[in-house]
Amino acid sequence: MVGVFVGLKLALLRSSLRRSTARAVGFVAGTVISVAGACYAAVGLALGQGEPDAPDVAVLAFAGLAVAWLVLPLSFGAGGDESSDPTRLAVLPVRPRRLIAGATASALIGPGPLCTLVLITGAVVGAAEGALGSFSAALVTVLAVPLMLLLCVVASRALLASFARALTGRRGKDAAALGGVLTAVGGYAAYLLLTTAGSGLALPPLVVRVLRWTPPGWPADAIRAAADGRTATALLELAGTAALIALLMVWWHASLARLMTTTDSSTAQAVKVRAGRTTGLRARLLTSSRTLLVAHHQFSAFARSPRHRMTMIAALAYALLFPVVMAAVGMRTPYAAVGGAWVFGLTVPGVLFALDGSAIWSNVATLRTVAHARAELVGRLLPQLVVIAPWLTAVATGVALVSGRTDQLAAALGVSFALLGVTFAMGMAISVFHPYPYPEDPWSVSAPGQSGGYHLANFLSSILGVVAVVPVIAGAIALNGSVFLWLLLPLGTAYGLLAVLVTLRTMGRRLFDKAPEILTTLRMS
Amino acid sequence: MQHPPEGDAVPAAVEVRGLRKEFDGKVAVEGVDLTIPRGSFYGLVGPNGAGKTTSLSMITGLLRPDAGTVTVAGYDVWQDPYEAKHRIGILPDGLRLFERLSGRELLRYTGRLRELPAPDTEARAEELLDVLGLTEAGDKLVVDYSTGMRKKIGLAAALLHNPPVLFLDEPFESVDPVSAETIREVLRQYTATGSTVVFSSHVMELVAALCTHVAILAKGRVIADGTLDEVRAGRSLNERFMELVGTPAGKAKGGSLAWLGSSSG
Repeated sequence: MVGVFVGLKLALLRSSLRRSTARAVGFVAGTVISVAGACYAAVGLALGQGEPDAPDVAVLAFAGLAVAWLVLPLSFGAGGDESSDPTRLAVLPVRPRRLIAGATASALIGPGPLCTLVLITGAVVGAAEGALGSFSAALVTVLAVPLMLLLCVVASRALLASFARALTGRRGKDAAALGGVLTAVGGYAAYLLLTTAGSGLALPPLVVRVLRWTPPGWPADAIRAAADGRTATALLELAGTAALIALLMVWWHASLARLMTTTDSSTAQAVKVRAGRTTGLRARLLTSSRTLLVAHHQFSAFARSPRHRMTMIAALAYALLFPVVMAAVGMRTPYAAVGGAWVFGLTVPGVLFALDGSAIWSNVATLRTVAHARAELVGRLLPQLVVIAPWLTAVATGVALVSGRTDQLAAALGVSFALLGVTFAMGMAISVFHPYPYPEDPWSVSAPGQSGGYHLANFLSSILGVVAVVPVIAGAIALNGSVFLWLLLPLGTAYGLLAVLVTLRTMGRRLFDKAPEILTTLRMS
Repeated sequence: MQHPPEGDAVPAAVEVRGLRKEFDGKVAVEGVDLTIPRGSFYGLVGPNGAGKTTSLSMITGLLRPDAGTVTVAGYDVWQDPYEAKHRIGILPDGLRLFERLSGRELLRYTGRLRELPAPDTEARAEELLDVLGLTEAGDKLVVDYSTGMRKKIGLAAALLHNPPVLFLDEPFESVDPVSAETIREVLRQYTATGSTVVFSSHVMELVAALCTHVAILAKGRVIADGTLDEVRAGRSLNERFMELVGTPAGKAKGGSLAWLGSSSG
């Protein structure tokens, strides 16, 4: 059964990559970059060997990995892994133990587990000072690696299976999406705090002590215990980890058995919405201006579709958290709002076409002029702007007031608006040249690696966006302290607006010409 | 404005010439020619993978052909999309709808995209919802619709601007018999006034019962087309179709699968 599952996983991966060269390149590039990142972090962790806090770092790293494995698949699906859905085997006579063994084996394949393995190895090496002194200590150290990896993977799958029914229902997806965003935002805050906290690890010792007693802390602490000669403690901790993995497997199997024999949520009660009035001024406006019509439609998508809402809430939260965390570590200036503007840029391609996917066929079917195409672009960006511009202004003003740097407020907003305009422009270009369909159902897609190329392009373009606002940043530096610093507000805003208008001209034309091709790409979701 | 100009010499509602499409070197549609008379109820039949959906997508302006021309109501779909798109109604297969709109809102959105006056959109939408039995479900989100309801709301959206030519991709697939009869009735009424329906299906009985004209597609080519009676040449449409397309059912008769059903389990 293990062989069958592994073969299935590899076959799914291969065939999804074979569908398009761009996807294959994106997947490979994404994997290489993430593994390289993991190696870099792992080397950092390993080089900490001998530092007094190295064992604490290992505890923290293990706890972080465990949380990531529990939270990320819940909010973003199991990494597009159809083989992680054993309910597909419901009609086959497979014994529970073999089913779980097979599913575990297939879950261990992929870039995610590979990166995790690299990170665990790094953390273990970092914590392993003196662990090679005795055979038992060395054994504990070596065993800690696979046990920790198994703990992550099995806990993640068990949790996913137990929530699967709730997650496949519409409301469940809505809730998971929102919960995922909040957790991701919280994790981001924790990450920022940890990485910017200055010299090494500034966590209170109490936190580490508590984490050491949580399950992911056991294998990490076992290494230190073994190195200190407390072999019994070390073995107990490893045995505890193994027992927990076994328990999680039992839970996993029980959830699967329940999943296979109960109804899904397709019979759930439907939601009714009341359509507003359709005559009068609003109706006339929406009929006469395609820009307003598309913007209105987009607003209702933010109100009703959890994935639209999720992108927006996440961006708003990041924009707020970034300056707060920056202030916490000493960067007390409204310029921190610029980070928020950058994050908003990353959401633009999603908002333009990716979230709607092939549903935009009805817009394509009515795209009769280039002006219509420009209206599609402006209409989809307008609600973004209406929400973002006041939000950034409020955040920057708040930071300026709290930090007492109101003199920098106008300039900070100028740079923010310039960056916002440039990232909007980049987002338009990405959407039109490299459209990407978000999978319709992230919990049951069979195409791992679809998104690698898109996210890479989006990320690189946002870096390029920062380069493009260098003139404005240079202006801010040049005028720093001068009485003309406020000039950056109108200049920066104009710069951003110009970037949007120039791009809109060319991208509107391109969208009109290439709408069928864009639809063909979006159809592949 | 929705019918061709006076004195238009083109007799056909849809003219397709040399339509061709390849996907990654694999030919999906290989030189399709069709002449679809105005006022006809035109069935496009063929086995899975024959190129029906690809052809309909290219004819309606949703997929760019590698070669060939399409004229709808006298306007070239790819040269003059401004005029042509206005005259086309589409119910595509395999494309998403805006799931988070209610049925009523979806019709309104479509009407506005089509630049219909608001009162017209409103009145037509209510009538269509009523006739298609969706009035009750009009305020439910499309995401909660069954397959049959989706096909019906899609049909309503396609009919809203009263196009002279309507293209339906598998309108009866997974649709319950009651909804199917409703759809049939609406389409009969629509063609009775001189409008044209082109639809794809693999249910021969349905095509034989509804259509005035038929084209049989196989492996990306038209292998027979004309009036229903011309194509079926005195036999049932199903027999004629099997004869033209060829069937592997003969293999099952010839003694393969001898083990099947003999076991007592």
